[in-house]
Amino acid sequence: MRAGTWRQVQWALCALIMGVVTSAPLALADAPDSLARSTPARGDSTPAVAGPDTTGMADLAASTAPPWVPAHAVPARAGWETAVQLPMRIVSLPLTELGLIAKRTMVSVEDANWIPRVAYLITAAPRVGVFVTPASLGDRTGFGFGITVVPPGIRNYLSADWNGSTLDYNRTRVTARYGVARVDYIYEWRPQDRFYGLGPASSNADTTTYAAQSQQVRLGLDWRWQVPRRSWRTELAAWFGPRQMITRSGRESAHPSIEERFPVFQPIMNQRYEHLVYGARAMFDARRGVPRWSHGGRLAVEYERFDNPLGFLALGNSDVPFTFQRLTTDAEVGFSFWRDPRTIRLAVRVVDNHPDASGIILPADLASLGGSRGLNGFEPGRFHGADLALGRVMYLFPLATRFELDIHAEVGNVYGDVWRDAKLNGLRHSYGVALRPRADTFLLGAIGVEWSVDTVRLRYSIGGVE
Amino acid sequence: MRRLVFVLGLLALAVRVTAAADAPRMPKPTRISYYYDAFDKSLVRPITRTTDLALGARKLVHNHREAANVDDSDQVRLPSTWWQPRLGYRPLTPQQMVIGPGPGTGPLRDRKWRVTGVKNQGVSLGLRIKDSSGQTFQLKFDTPQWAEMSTGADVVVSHLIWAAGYNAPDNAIVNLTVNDLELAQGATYQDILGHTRPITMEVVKGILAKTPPNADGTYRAVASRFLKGKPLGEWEYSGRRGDDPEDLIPHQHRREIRGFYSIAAWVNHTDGSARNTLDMWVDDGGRSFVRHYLIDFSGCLGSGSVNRQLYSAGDEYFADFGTMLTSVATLGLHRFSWEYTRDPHLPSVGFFEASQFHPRDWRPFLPNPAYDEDTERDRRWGARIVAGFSDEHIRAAVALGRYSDPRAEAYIVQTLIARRDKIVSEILPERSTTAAAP
Repeated sequence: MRAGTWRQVQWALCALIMGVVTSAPLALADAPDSLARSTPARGDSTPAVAGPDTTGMADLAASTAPPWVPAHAVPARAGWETAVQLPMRIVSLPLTELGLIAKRTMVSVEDANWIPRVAYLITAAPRVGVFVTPASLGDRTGFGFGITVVPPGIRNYLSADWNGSTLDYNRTRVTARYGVARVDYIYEWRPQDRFYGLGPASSNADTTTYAAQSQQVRLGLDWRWQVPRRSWRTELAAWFGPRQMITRSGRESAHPSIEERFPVFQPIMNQRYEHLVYGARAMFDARRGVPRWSHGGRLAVEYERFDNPLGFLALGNSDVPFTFQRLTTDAEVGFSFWRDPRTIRLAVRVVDNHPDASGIILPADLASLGGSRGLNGFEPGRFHGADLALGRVMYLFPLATRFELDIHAEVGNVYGDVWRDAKLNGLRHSYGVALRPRADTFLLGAIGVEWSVDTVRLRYSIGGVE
Repeated sequence: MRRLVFVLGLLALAVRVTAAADAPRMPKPTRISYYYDAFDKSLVRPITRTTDLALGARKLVHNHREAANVDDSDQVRLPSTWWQPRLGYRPLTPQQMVIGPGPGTGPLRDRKWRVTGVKNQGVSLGLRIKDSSGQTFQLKFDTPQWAEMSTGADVVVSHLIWAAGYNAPDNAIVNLTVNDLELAQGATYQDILGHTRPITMEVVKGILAKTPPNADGTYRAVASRFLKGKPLGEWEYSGRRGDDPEDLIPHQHRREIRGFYSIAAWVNHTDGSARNTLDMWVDDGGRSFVRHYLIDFSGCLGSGSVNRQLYSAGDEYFADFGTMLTSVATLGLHRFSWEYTRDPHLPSVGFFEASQFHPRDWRPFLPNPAYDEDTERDRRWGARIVAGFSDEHIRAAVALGRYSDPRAEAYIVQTLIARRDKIVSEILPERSTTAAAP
């Protein structure tokens, strides 16, 4: 090492030492007055506020002095608490890890603004004219979704929707409207609807399936009236148009097809039956209340005739060996008490099918019970008959602001002729309970169990509860 | 000469290096998920607490853990970066409370405010502006159906909370027109889909068009002064910030956080979750440290921020299993106290009342870990602060809400007084009067 270099190193060392020494007073000079006056030691128990201080705003300002801190970090739990809880912590370790993953995922989702983005896309749907919804294909149709297209600009005149599910159910509907007039085209494919036999004595041992394929064109008129500031409204509707229906073998491999167990249906299988369907419906609806109706009632009467098709309106084959007519009556009434309404509802439904002399009605046109059509504690389609009668009593009460409970019981059955055969002692019973989360103005969904002598069913829905 | 320059340079470097080694390091900013927080507090936490044997044992023998930062006189050990003794501990005049964290005047009005940012999506809309002094403010607006409600609550409660000793932002009501605003050079915003777009006057006008105008055509907003320092994210009501050497006590065991229950109950601070807290890294008084703030009081009093408070707000959690159990056991025939309340039907108030207010049973929207741990001593500590608010303090704070309807102002004053008196009579029964010195 040269002498000059060595001298520079000496100077440098000297300067470094001087720097360290001089920095201490500088740091002290930067310290706040409070610190200079008294620096509380760690663990010092002397309260800093001895008495009233009547000085000005400066003393009321947030402190800048180093805070009192304990000598060591305070554990969240005492030692014995940790020991007692250790087994539970070990057991719940996988859940803790899942929680951490969920937490990090949610932070990423929120950082990327995904939740407002999705909400925005949902709210933007009306402008774009495309809506994605859960499928509405009925019970036991698998998981699915629906797409509705309402072209912007002509949304009042044209719409189309498609629903499909994992069990291959699908339905397509195109609707054109003008004023009170409307035209619908509907195509539906239901590959594995169940059939257990005709009448109230059908048995679980006779489980079969069938497929139904239908298309329909319907010209209709809809009138709706609502007197301003009145909660009730009236609806009148009338329609007519051709419908084709084909009953095919069921696609569910676990059970035989309908014609194998019930040969009476053999002649109708794979036949294309066409009817001219016309009917009318009147409804008086005085239900009111949010997030679900709590007061009032509803009465609806619908008449529909499945007649010989008109040649010029036929979709195809116009040969029809049978006709029938159907009268459906629905009535429900509800009343409530207290601010967060506890609601009692009563409902009655009667379906009366009148076949012609041939006595034929296709399986899909029969009145049926089980699942969401009534008697929820039974499998969908558990009972089929010409007619049905169903009664339902429901008690809804709040569990908390965002949840309510629905307890209900249903009685009913299917009959050859509801007016002649219905008897109180022949009714089937079903019971259910459902938890329903709710927002301020609508129900978010429901999850519950339904039970009957046959089975216990889990039931759930996202939106569209009522 | 070269040698002297070399030595001086080394000297300066040494000073810098030494000072940097001594300076506290800024903790890492954190983020919490609001949705996960709601899920955790509503479902996970109640389950873990129910299965917590140690907690059960403590409850059984009435041996609750007391706050870890109190002295022999049961007072918060000071100094604190969380809380500063003010009302209830020191004389504080209504005038001083009105100044609050200061100066309480809102942005300067000598020049147009420069718009530097916007929030134009969702239900709560806002503008970020700079005044002529360069100070940044966030302007927040009311929703059309509830004019004056959330802005009023934000300003009134921020002053009450500050007077109670907590760190709160400086909020003030301002009225503005589009003529009071100009665009900052090159100001942009991100739209909901993440696209960067320039802020135009049309965007600003669009925001104002969605807010309820005053009778004179101006728009009312709360101007919230940006806090000094660097934001570090929310602080939680449990746990610690591990990289802050001054944060050595789990928050749920801090007296000033547990004791906040009584104050939150008083002002109906139902949305008192981590989302309304903020840690700031500040350079103040010659040192750098973390200061802990409570922010956003638009969900207090009768305001639920964008809507009025639910009738059941303060009575039950979002998912209240105790309430649900009672309902199931009685088939819904148990009537909850909130079902007896009366709605004042004042849009600028929302829903806020005192007749069915039970201080010991008040509940925020989500279970709060610090309130879950609180003991009678913590509640009394907070109640003593509430008792420090005189009727004059309350009137002065509510006047800051600048309600156009005198009935609203009178109703809020009357309700706050009644709720304060209930807190005092139920939690501090030995106190015959309020607003007395300790």
